[in-house]
Amino acid sequence: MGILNKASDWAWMLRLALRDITHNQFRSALTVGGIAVGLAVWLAIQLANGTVLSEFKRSVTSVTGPSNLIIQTATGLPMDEGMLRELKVLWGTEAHYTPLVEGSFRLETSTGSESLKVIGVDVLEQATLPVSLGERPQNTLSQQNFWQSVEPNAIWVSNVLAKEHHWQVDSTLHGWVGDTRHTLTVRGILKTQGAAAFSGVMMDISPAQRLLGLQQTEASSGKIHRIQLVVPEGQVATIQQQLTSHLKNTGHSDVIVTTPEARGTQVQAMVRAFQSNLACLSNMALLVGMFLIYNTLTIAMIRLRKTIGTLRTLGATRVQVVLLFSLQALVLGIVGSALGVGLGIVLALGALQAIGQTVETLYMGQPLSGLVLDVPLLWLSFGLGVAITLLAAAVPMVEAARIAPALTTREGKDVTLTPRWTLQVLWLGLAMLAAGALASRLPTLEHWLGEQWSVIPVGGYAAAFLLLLGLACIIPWVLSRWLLRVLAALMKRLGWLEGRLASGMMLGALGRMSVAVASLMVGIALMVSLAVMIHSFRQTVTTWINQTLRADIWVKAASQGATQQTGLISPAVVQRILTTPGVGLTDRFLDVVITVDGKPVRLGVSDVETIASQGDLTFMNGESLAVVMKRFAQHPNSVMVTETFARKHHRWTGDTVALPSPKGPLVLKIQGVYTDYASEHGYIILPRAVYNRYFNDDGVSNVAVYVDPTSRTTPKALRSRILSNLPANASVDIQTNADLRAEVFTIFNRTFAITYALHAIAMGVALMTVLNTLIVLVRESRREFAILTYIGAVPNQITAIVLVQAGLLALGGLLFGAVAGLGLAWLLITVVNQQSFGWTLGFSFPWDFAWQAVALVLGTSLIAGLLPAWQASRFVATASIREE
Amino acid sequence: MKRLVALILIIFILLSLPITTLGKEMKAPFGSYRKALPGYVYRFPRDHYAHTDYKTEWWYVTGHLKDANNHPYGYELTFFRVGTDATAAHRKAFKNSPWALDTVYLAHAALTDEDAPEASQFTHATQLLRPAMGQAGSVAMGSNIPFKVWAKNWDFTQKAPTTKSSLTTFTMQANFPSKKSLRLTLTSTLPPVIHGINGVSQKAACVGCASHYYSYTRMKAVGTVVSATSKGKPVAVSGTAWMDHEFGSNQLQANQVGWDWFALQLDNRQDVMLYQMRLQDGKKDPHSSGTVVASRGKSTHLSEKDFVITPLRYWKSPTTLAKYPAQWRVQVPQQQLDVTLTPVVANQELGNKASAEGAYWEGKCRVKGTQFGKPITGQAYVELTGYAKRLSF
Repeated sequence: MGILNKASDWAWMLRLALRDITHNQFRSALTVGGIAVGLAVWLAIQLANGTVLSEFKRSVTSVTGPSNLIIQTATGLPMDEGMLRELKVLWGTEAHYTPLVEGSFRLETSTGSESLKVIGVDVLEQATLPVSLGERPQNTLSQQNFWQSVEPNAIWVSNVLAKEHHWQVDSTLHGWVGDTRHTLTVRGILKTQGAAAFSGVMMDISPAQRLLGLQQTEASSGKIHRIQLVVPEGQVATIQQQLTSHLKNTGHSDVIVTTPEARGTQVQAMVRAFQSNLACLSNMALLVGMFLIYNTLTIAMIRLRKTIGTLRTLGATRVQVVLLFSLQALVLGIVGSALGVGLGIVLALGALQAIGQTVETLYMGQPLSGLVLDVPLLWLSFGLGVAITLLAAAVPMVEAARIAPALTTREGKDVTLTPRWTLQVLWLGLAMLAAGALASRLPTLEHWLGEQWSVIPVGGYAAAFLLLLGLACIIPWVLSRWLLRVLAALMKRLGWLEGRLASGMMLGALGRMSVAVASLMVGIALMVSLAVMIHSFRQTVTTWINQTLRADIWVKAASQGATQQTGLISPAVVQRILTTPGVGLTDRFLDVVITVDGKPVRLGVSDVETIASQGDLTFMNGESLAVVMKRFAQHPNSVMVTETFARKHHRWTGDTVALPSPKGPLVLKIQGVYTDYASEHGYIILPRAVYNRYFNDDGVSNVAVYVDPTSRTTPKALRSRILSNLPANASVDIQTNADLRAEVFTIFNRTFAITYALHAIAMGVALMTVLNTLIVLVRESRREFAILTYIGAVPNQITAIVLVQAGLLALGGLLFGAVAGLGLAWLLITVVNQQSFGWTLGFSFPWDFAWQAVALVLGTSLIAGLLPAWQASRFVATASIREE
Repeated sequence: MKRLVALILIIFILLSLPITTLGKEMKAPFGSYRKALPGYVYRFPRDHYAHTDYKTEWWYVTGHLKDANNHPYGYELTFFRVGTDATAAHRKAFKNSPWALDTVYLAHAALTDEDAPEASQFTHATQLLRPAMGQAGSVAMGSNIPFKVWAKNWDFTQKAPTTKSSLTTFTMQANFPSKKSLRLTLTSTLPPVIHGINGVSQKAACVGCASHYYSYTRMKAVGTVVSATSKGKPVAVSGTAWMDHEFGSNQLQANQVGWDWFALQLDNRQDVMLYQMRLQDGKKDPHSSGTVVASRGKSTHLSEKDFVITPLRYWKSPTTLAKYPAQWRVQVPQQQLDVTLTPVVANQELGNKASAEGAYWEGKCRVKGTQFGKPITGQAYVELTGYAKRLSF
């Protein structure tokens, strides 16, 4: 018969749980804070990821609109508009279709420039347009003439864009396409709705072709990028098949009929790889959060020992005690999770800025709009926060329930880990480490789950978690058998009493110490691994840049970002560049995205003779550039590919690769595989002569210029000379080698901006962990401190003991954090990055950063130790001793 | 004559884009286009071809068919060629572009299947196309190939004349959703009738506010229909066709809201065409007129004063909520003609909710009444435009 058999008794218990929370505001705040921070980091990354994904989808679907089939060339290059004549086979069916051209317009703004997506469609084909039908903006265009809106340079803009830039009908805007400046006039405002709405510039097909340089000329027919079809839902597959065979039979073997989904998946796979990397890190952050929550909840248990004892003496059962604790954990969990969700949203806004830039720079080429608040995700994370709190509270709860009534009325020691337990956990940890090592060798799940999994290194992630958990499990053994003992012995030899006492006390609370060290370890490991990875990456990129960026001057069309598929430089401008006095060797480079084996690949058309004489590439098989170039000279259809391509397509030196070309499949022999970090899609480098022959095109997107050594001019001087030699309306970016290097590193740093946020998280974790743990330890050690004071210890000595403990904790955390961090870094570099991006990085350790990190963690820990130290010195000789 | 303001339809269709627009250029209708002026001399087959120097032109076929089981059908197939109001800048810049919007084609087709279940009694389809990539076009005057106008797989084509026959023959085809279709060969029985006075059918008082308009009012039609009654299979049909060809550069005047057009084929082989321009105040424009074609082909012009059309009933469209007249008493005193026209199916409206502004009613009707005091029956097609809601600017 317990005491809690009446409703009033339960109410009393609830009050007890709540009173403990409200009466110990500081501790409750720490607990709630721990929960909130742990959850917020996870949620923030999830939210930011979700936004990026939906943005990405928008960038695909906003243009395809209601289309359910797409015709495009396999190369991704524009096709002759005459292809539309083949669609005669669909006349008389319910299929609608529009030609589509797309490109970007670099808008001049007061602060610089902004890239706008431009699409050109047949505006009479309403059913296919990416703007919702039957909706008209009221009064915005009512007095406008439809025919003005199909004039050259007339555009429709989405209402979102119009609002953002304060454009109205008849507003004019200036900007660039490729190297030519244009003035466009807003003739209509599209009413669009929803996050997936088109948010760019729409034109009728003919003005769009003209703007983007795709119109019919005397030399060639007009070009289009795609034909977008809307066919009745039930007939998509049938019509796809019908068109595919029709196009094949009519000799259009370089044209494919695909669905918007299939088209989206290829690029989406890359975004997913990037995201899964972040998601993996965010899950680790959640792990840190769990340790933190566990830690803080343990305090509550210690505080309530006496109460528990009293309750148990009065007849409360173990179950009732557990319930009491659950109640408390639940309240803390709810408050903490609610705060965590709020904080997560705030953090997400920041994270989005960081990720957004990367994604924008690397993948989409258009700015992200605002954060997408995924409400179900918010609820999920709230639930997750509460669940994790309860889970983390389970261990202290069980500890509390085990307390025998007699013991608890006295201030007692923590139930520590027994040596047998320590050993069992050690074995478990070692097993996990072994499993982790095995997991890291796993291939990707592509084979079983399909192509989209090819870039997600599941094995790598599993290994990372097993590494952290495994190390956490061996912490108690290492601490008790080795670290603390050695330290205690060392202190004894040094005759430093405070130090000896400190390590002794910690040994007495082994369980708690282990958790604290593990929690520090995870935080530090995150920081270390990322630092190592970024450093390694940077080192590798530097080496690569030294090898590949050898030209003195780089010219590119001005409308594009550095990593975007570039716009073209007009032939007249190229000619002027080549004929400028002082220009020596040149490499006219064309950079286009094509599709090989259903995956996007960058095709780089290059004057390989220039590479041969000026370049320096690192080939995977150790061959020199000269040897590879010799083979190029011997074999007419030669290419070289980047390592990223080789890994993704499983094609290496000596293999062949077939490119879809207007003249049918072009089979090329791979003469070399070199390391390169320019694109994770990989590059195929094709000699310009071969490209001219098979693709009937001589487009140039960049020109690499070497200063003529006999001209005695500097790159800088030559740059100005080229600039002055260009036609007045030409807009090209001309960068010297030094400028370009700086730009590459700017992009690099921006790409990894998000990861620096994790440093701050590691610091926060250290602060919270040390603070929490030492508050518990100090409280548990009241009696010791009291006795010490009784036998003559002064408050300064007590303070020193606690600070030494803070230092020891930090040391343990650093030690394990370094091991775990290096292990993680190794996994990130050799497993995750290679599987996700196909990049091989050289391992490089950031020593500068390492010393800073050590100082930072130690400093943070000591600062965190100040409060418990002050507490300890304050309550000596007061309450505690009275009990004896 | 009739539909003289086909351009309005096209503008309406364009209006149903998510973009709103209405032509300022409505006020300057002719631009560089040629006006329809009195004294025009018709020559055939030359005038079957497209007259690209005029802004607007249409080939319009309606008619009445029966299959072997006596199931009646009505049909409409029309092609509009519209020289657009594209700006001079557009014309200059896209002179060589196949995508230039200097001309657009609008085609309508409708099939009335009286004996089908109510939901399938009336089917219609629309195409609005630019003449790019061969998807729409017409053969212009001066060409040495037979005339043809088409919109994707729909077409209206003149068969190359043979030396043996003086008959004019056209073929036409169109199809509809649910695999319904219409495929006919039309053969003239009489020479074409030229409407109006001195080669022009006047639509308003101003100079050039007119069109050149001729008809084959009674052609023989044979071919196949796929409809609900034919259970999705092609069935042989035969009957009549009324073919109109009209070209001009005029526009609907500001005070005109629409027009009603009537094409009666009486069982005594007399044909009557009447149109009345409706004014904003609800009255009939004095420039309304008509033509009576006797069984031998002799035509008589009717002025506005020569006929009276009285609506007897109204019908409200559930789609566009427009209220249309739905039965008429038609009186032509000089012919002693007094007949009642009744639609065979109430809903023969071409339009949908999304583009109510461009909707119009065009349908097969039954004719019953008296002429010269004797009972007479016949068939008719009636077109009613400008009843669907006006644009609310």
